Amino acid sequence: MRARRFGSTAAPRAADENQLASYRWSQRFAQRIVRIAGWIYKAKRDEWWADLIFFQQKEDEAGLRLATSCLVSSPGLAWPHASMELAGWLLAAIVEVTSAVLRIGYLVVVRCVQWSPQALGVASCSLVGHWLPIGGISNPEIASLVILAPVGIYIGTTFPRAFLSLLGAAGGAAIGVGAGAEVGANMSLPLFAAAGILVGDGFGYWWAETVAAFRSDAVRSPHPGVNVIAMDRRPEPLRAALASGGRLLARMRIILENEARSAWARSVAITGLAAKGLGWNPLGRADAESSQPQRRVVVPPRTTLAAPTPIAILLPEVAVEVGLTTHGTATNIANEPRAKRRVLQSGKQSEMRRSKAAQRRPRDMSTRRSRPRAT
Amino acid sequence: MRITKASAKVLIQFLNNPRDDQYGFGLMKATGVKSGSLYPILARLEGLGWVEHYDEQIDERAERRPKRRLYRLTGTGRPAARKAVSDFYEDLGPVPVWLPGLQGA
Repeated sequence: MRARRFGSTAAPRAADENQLASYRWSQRFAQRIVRIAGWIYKAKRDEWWADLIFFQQKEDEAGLRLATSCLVSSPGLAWPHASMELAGWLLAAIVEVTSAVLRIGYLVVVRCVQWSPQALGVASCSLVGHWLPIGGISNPEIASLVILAPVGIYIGTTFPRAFLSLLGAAGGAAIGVGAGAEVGANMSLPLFAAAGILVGDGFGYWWAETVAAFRSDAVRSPHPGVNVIAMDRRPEPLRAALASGGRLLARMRIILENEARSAWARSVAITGLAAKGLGWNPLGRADAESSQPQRRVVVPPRTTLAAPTPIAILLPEVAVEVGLTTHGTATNIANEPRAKRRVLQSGKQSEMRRSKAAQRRPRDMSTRRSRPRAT
Repeated sequence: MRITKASAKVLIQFLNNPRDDQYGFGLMKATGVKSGSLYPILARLEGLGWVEHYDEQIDERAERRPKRRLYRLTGTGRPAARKAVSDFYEDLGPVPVWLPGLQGA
């Protein structure tokens, strides 16, 4: 029942025009007050409005005192609803912040891994510059770093596997030699160095594989406008850096936008379940019933129908990598009845066509057979 | 069942007018209970199953007003309300004879 304008109330009995005018004024004022009270506490909006109109018609009173009472009490009556909403908002904010922190952390890790060969290339070239400084200029180490840094980036970009294996082996050898020196025996030095080379080479190879896997992944975007954000396979340093920065921002925006859409619905559902589980019903039965139509949370199909795993909710990129999706299953489920219906319909139609053809065929044959040959 | 003074007033209003179903503003005017107390009381009584509400059956166009929400005592609510009110007044003293609807309590 919506509050409608039932403007023509019964005429007051007051004969005096001044009294009549003041009566109408107080009537309208009471109506305004009840409207404001109903705006504050929507669950009783229609009830108060209907009561006031009836009161003004039948009781022949403006109802100003009662309307004021409603207005005064409306914040207190609305508080249980507001507290639930507030709890929902708080929970949504917590979910949002946690989710954003996790995502940003994950993206940072991904980028660090992706660009680690280049960073290691620059670092190793700076070591070369440290060991073999360019002579004849001031700050030879910085100069050699500036000159050799692009070489390091190029090597890290173009030959990541070989470079990382070599670097790992070199590092392993250095650690092995150090360990052998610590042990003290001369014979153990080559043994430790060989073991270090093997382990370092293996680690470098594993790291290169990880980098390759991180570089070649393609993240399917749930955003309708953007289908695939492909990671660069062989980035050229400057262009790749610029493109990568842009893609990173676009990716973060899409992820956060998508999560923001469903976070509210999730948090409302979680709050409702928690309140139900704790037996917390601050609205009371009647108020809860009456407040149902006032706010309808439209839960998108993917959040209601999907059964996303926690990893799919928190880290969709990881989920994509391991073959889970946050939305694909739900979309399929949502479309399933229609698709099934179509399949069934098409199946039925083809079956009907087949049966009709089968019915037609023997009749034709029989007619042909029975048809006498023209002589 | 312990009830408050405001609840007792509301229940007495229901008991005094067994044939007339009550509405919010009418209850407020008759009992003097403010809106902030009345509606939680009604919600509590509905939760106990003593009171039920329904929408008034009128032709809104003919009556030129919207439908009210009316409240009435349920079959089980009536004796329980009588007992609760009489218990309430027992705590205060003898049941006042001038209170209609409580003679049988």
